Amino acid sequence: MNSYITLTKTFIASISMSAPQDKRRKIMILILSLFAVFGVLLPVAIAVGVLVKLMTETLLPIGCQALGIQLMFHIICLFTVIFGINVIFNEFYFSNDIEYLLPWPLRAYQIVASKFTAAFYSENIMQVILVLSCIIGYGIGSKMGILNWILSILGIITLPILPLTYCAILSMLLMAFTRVIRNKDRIQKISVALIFLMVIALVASIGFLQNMDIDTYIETLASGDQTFFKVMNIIFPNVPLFVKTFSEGNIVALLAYIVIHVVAVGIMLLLAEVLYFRGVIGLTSAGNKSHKKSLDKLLSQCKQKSPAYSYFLKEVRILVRTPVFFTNCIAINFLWPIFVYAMIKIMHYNITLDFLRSQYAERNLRIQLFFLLGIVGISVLVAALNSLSSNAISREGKHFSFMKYIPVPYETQWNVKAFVGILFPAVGVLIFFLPACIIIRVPVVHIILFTLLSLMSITFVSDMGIYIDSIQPKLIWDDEMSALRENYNTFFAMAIAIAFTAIVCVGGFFLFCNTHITIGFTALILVIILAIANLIVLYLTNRSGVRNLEEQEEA
Amino acid sequence: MIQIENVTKTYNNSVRAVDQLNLTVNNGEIVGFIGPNGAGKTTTIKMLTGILKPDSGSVIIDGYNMSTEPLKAKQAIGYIADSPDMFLRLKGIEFMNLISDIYKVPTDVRKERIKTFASRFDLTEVLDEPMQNYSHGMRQKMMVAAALVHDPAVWILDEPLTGLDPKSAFALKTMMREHADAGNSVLFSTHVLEVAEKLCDKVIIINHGKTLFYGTLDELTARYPDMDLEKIFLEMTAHE
Repeated sequence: MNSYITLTKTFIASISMSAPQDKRRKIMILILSLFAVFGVLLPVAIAVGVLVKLMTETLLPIGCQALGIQLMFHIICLFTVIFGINVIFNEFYFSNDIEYLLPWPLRAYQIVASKFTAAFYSENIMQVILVLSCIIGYGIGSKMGILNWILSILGIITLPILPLTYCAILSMLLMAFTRVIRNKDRIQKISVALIFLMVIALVASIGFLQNMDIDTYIETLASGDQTFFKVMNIIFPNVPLFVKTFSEGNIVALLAYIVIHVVAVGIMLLLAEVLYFRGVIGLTSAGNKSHKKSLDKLLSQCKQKSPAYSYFLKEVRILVRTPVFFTNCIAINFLWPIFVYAMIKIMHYNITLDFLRSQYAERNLRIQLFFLLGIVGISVLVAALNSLSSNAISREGKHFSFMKYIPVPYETQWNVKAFVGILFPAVGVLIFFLPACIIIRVPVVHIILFTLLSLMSITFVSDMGIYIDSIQPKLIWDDEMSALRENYNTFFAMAIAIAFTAIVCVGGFFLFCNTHITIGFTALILVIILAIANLIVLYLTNRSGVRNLEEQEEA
Repeated sequence: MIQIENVTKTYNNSVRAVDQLNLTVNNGEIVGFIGPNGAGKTTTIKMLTGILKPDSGSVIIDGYNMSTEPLKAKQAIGYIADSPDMFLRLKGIEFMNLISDIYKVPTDVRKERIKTFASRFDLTEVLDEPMQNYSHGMRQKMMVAAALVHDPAVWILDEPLTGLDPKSAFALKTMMREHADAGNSVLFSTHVLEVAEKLCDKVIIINHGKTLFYGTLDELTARYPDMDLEKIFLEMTAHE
């Protein structure tokens, strides 16, 4: 037990980011934290809570009031599995501390238990907020009693345990049977590819929600067809038991809830004893050795390049060759069409390319607005989601000193990193968007305008991300995944991007719909807003960005 | 030439890592930087290379002040960090080219130097492999080769011999001597007192960020007759 506690404390300590020392940075971090909490987290939590309250009130007359919150919990559990599996894989098998742990006299279950707790801790913050807001929404909607409120506390923290246990068991089973592939990079690529496929399949299959608006949904429930719930209740039995516990004050359900968790964790630890060492020992990070060129051949290819270009090549090579960076920072730029498809399905739009072409030809202003606001929203969100810029300095980790001792101005290094942060999302967005515009026969002037808006949006997010990362970069990390997931800066940048998108796109929509401004004027307003946003970030960068780098004293 | 004048560095406003340090490494000299763990050697080296900013005092490299002309000062330095695990996803040749580009080494010159280093450090066979395939010693050799590819006037080496095999260690020591004899300056930190004894023209011994001794080895042994270097070192640092 002592080993477990000590190990867990150590792992959790390595997750946290060091606090800035000087007052200026402390104030900046405080402002960003307050913005993230009050500007994004709280509004999202309130929206979720209100949604659950509405569902509860709607379902109350047919006696199914708990089904709304149950649906939300199932979704939370499903997303915990999707996002958790990558984290668990990295924590269990690819973090750099494993080679130090293996020679110690530790049992496999002790390592797995500690690493699981650390992963649970790092993944749990967002879930806690969502689960809490669901419960508040349900509690208000169903006028829950005091005992029920008390009983609900249990699940706020423990709900993600079961999904994460699934991730742990799945990762141990997979790793135990990949004895042929002992190369970390290859396994990481395969596992991430599988996760991507899972996400794509999930998002693509979201089409089934097309028929699930709240009225038809209630009718389905009222008719007794609860197939979805039956399946989900088998996969996540913790959800109905937890809901029953606090909604009905059912003590038997509470006991069953506890037993299920004890059994799941017990199975995980038992499997750890049998499988963990089998999977983790012998993993190598050595790369491919074949097709080596001779020294003469290599030297014949040497050619002097500018420091900036060479630095750019270094950035790109590291991003492309590191599996975690490749999937989370590069590949993700090219996945947005799948999510747009899912959004269109969820919103019940029956949009085809032919429809868009005919509407654009008929000068349907709503469709033009859809393109105008859509390109800004997509560009901002893609650029923020890839964490390329909000992780640009943190990514250096223990090599941060390299940035400081080479005779390359900080401004140049900054600009190269910003360019990398612009290049990949710009390619990812425009490679789909421009052909779509051509197929839809969007006028050339509009295409130029959309491209300009996209580049301005991406530039804003990229520069803003690096600026945020420069305030207090996370330079201590055990593996590349930690550099991304445990870096608050990526979260701050994403929060600002989401808020920006919401304000600009929703604001733009209402402004256009409720006033008599033309589509051209709306476009002009967007260009002005993005120009101002870029200028503000540029001002901040010139004022203190480079100074942040100069003053940053390693980790 | 390296000049450090009254340099002080404090961490978190409480821990004084380096305290009013003065040091001059003249052209043609090899100076060994000796001290127990946590004495302030690496902090000093990081201030010399521009990684850390001193709270007070000045650092002058080859005539350039690190705080006012940092790029020129950095261009004059060949620095080997204490950890060779850098940019492991890059191939050896890519890393050499990156450093060569950063220090603006012309194509023909870099080709010649890469060839020389590859031969001297037995790197020829691995240059086309990612550095994550290398052993610790191999990575260290790559760092040494990359740090010196632009033929800098000033060498600042943090524990450069750690992990090197005897042949490569000998090659590096020979290069250090040749470099100093050609009128350049070498400052390196080490825990191996025999190396300092055989290689250095002068040694600086520090503890708790303060200079305990700076001078030639003859001056040091004259101060402590009947003692070898190891005992002198233990005696000096024990009373701190």
